[in-house]
Amino acid sequence: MKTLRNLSGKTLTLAALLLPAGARAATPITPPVVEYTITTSLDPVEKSLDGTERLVWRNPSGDAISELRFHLYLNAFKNNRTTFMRESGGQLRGDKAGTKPEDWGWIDVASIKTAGGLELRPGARFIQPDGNDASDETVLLVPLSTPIPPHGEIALDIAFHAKLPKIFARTGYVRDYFLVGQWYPKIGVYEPAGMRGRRSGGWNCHAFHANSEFYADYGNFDVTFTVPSKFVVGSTGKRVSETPKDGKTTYRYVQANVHDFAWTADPRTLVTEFTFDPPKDVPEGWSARAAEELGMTENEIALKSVSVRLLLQPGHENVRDRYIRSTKQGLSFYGLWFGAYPYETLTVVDPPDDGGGSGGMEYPTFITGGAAGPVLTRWPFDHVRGIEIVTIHEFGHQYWYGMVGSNEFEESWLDEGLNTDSEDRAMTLAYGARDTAQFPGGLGIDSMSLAHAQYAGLPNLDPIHRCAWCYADGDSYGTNSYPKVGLFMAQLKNDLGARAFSRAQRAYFQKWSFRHPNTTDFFDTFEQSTGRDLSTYRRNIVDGTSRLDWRVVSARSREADGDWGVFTYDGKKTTYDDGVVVEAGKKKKDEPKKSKGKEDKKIYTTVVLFGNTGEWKHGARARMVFEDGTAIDRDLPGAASWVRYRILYKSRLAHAVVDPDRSNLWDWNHLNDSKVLASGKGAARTLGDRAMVKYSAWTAYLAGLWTQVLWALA
Amino acid sequence: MTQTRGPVAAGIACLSHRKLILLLALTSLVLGLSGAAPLMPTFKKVLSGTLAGDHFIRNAPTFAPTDFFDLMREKAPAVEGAMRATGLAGVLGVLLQMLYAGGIVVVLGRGPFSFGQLFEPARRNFWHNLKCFFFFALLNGVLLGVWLGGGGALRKKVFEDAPPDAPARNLVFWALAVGAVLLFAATSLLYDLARAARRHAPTIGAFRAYRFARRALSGSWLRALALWIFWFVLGGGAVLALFAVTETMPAVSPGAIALLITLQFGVLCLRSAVRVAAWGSYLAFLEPRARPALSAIARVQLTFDRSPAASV
Repeated sequence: MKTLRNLSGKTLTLAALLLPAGARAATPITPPVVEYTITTSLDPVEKSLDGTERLVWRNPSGDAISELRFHLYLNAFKNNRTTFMRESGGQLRGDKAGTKPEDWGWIDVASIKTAGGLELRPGARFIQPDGNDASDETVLLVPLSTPIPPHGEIALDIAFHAKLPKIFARTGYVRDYFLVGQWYPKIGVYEPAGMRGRRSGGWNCHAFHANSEFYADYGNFDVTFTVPSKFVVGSTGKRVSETPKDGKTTYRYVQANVHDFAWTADPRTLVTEFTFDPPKDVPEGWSARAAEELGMTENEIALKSVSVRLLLQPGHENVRDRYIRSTKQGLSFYGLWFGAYPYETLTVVDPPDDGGGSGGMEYPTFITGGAAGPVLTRWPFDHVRGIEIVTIHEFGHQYWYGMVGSNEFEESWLDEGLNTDSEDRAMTLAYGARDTAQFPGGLGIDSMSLAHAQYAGLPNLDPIHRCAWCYADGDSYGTNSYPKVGLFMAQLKNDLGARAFSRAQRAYFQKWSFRHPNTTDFFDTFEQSTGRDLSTYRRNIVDGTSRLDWRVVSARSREADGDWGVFTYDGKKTTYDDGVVVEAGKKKKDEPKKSKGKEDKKIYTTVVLFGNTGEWKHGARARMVFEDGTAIDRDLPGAASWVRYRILYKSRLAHAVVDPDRSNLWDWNHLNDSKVLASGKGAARTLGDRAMVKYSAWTAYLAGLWTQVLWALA
Repeated sequence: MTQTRGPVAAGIACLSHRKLILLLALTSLVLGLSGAAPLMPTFKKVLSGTLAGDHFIRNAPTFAPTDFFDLMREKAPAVEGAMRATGLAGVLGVLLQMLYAGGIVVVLGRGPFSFGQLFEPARRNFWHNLKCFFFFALLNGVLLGVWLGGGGALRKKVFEDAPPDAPARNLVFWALAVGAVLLFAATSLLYDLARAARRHAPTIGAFRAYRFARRALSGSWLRALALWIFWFVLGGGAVLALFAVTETMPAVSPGAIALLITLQFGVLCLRSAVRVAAWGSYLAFLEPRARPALSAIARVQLTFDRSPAASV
């Protein structure tokens, strides 16, 4: 696909004008590609579901389709030889899969009938599109006897039985708590030629991998499920009926324009219902700030109210207000900066402490928070903002995954990464510079420093942009998909400016809502919006593994020699000996001493060498601060590998620093960004010497205390 | 130590041995300095030679944590060296503690003493204390292993299907925790009194010293445990409180840094003072029980004349 990066600057500017930040949001495709009508019942003893599914699938392409492909995600938990289990080793995100007979999960498709009554199940077979794990049964291929014509449709009646696993990797049960996710036969995405850069149409239906999430088409869901009446339920969508009968209750939920459906049931859940009321709940100043950054009026970015249902675990009452507050912050930030949350409802599930595997997950209009346990929610850890981070992050997926439906299998950075950046921005806006954790005594950690630590600490093996199962390992997937993208986006924001960045990101959201963009679409939209060529970012950071590492290679400052030798000024020769004018053939010591005047003041030669030892050629700002407080700022050009400054000045250099404001977040090592020649002096005073004393003593103190603790124990 | 004083009062009276307290604190300081030594050149280079030190001391948001993480990564060998040195300093500390304890149990509570009077029995009792420590470690490993390992496994089995907030589940957790502390207290008392046995029987062996300790504690376990808990709570609380002050003090000016360092040394002194006071208490507790305990474990030896004249 041709991108605008090859066009001239004028064309880019014109394009930017044509795509203002407030561009109208894309509307969902009508009629939708999929329509699901599912009826199921939960057997809480067997931990299983029996269900029927009426699927209407519309061919979005000009191709005749002769086969369908379905995701059967629960089969990932069927045995230890599935692709998921082989890749994960039965461990994911700190959670471990059970190995008892009752811990496994699977889904059996008993029947697939066309509207005409033709049974397709016998011809269906499992395929392994991504490898050779013959035991993997997470993708079912269903051949059709009659192809679906271009833009035609098919209706299927599917009967299935699903056994839920002991909670692991987002779904399952623990005791009588159920988080029912990825539980029904879900059709893959048929991508027509041209979509996401495809040359020809084809199915995009990957096996369920350990390091990947999901990808599906938008559509309408009408789901009815029956559970014992003692269970409290929560679900994607809006409840339209509730029918109790014989000790069981049947609930019906509907939701349009989503690509997945999940629900939960638990008899012990405590329900809190509240309404997000924008005039009351949007934090002060956020609306004005967003409007200013986006170049819109506050009316244009006004939000609408949302009914929120918080399902809290008993014993977690102390974090109820934190959930409520962070949900409102998420609705405010994402709504103001990208576009109002379009759905009527949102369900927030607080998982039990022993069901942490179902925590931190997103489904349309339905998210799960982070089980924090009893310790991390109480003093002195009550300002470790795990609950806020997870709630805002998972809510953010309503935008980056929910509404902008990028392919999580192939380009996890577009959902997890963009969302990490948005979450970081929301957190900083809500909680200030120490947004991640604040401890007694003023110490705190922020999202950017944590992201940088993960980026810098990771072996540089993979680029950001890879399919989720193609990374070297889970750490590489995690760091490349989450914090590295957060850093990249923050770098981009610093380079473009908050206004241009925010407008571009809003434009991307608006253009690609209810669609399936890819990396090229992301960069195209940003380039159109900002009028800038961003190919260096894509080549070096997103598709490459380039690092940036500006440093102060050396810095020295010493008293300069006076002039020596013979100088010709205005045709007249003058002889200097160490800065003093002497008669020809004489020396300074032979001259009579003069009183100290202007000429006798000392001059210092300062030489500072800045270098970029990273692979990414990107500019930086250099600052040289002298002992008299004078600071000289210079821009180091991106094309340079090194820049040397030689300065003659009346004062010595106190310190030199590259990127003093740390706007180059991609800089790999900040420890080499500065050199201090003189600490604690005059106007250029720094406190490094004091720090050395303080922290040396502190380290010795802690080591001494450690020996005392051992004394106490022994 | 006067016999009219109770153990707590006797312990508090032992706080007058300021030199001994200072000796223990200085020992900790020297050990701490040895542990931190591998980091000092790094601190000189990084904290003083770059702006990182400035960021740290000013607690600059984002800059300070980023510099900290970079320091930990870039200077990992120095950090690891310091951690290893600290670990070795800890081992050395434990050995020194055994050495000092050998002298403390003899001279404490018997009026003023010189360092010479302290170190002579310290040297003499060192091997005894080392053997006592071996028994203590063994006893703790077995008892706590069985209690925590077995209890934990049983708890997991019994409460497998109970929700995390089930009261019984939490109750059992706390029972296990309190039980573990009490078991540690009991073994700790046995260990201390076995070492203190040398105060009353300078040649007693380690095994018999434990028998002595068990005898001395027999019938007074509750009282002894109460004494242990008193010093554990009071001493631990005081040290923790002062530690919290030092850790939350934003010292930036030279005066504040000097005050901070003084307070840090104060924490080391406080912990040493509590240990001396606790020793004083245990020795006072043991005083009236030592003789009966020794009698109870005394070996009766039959001695007779084996000379030829005697056999005629």
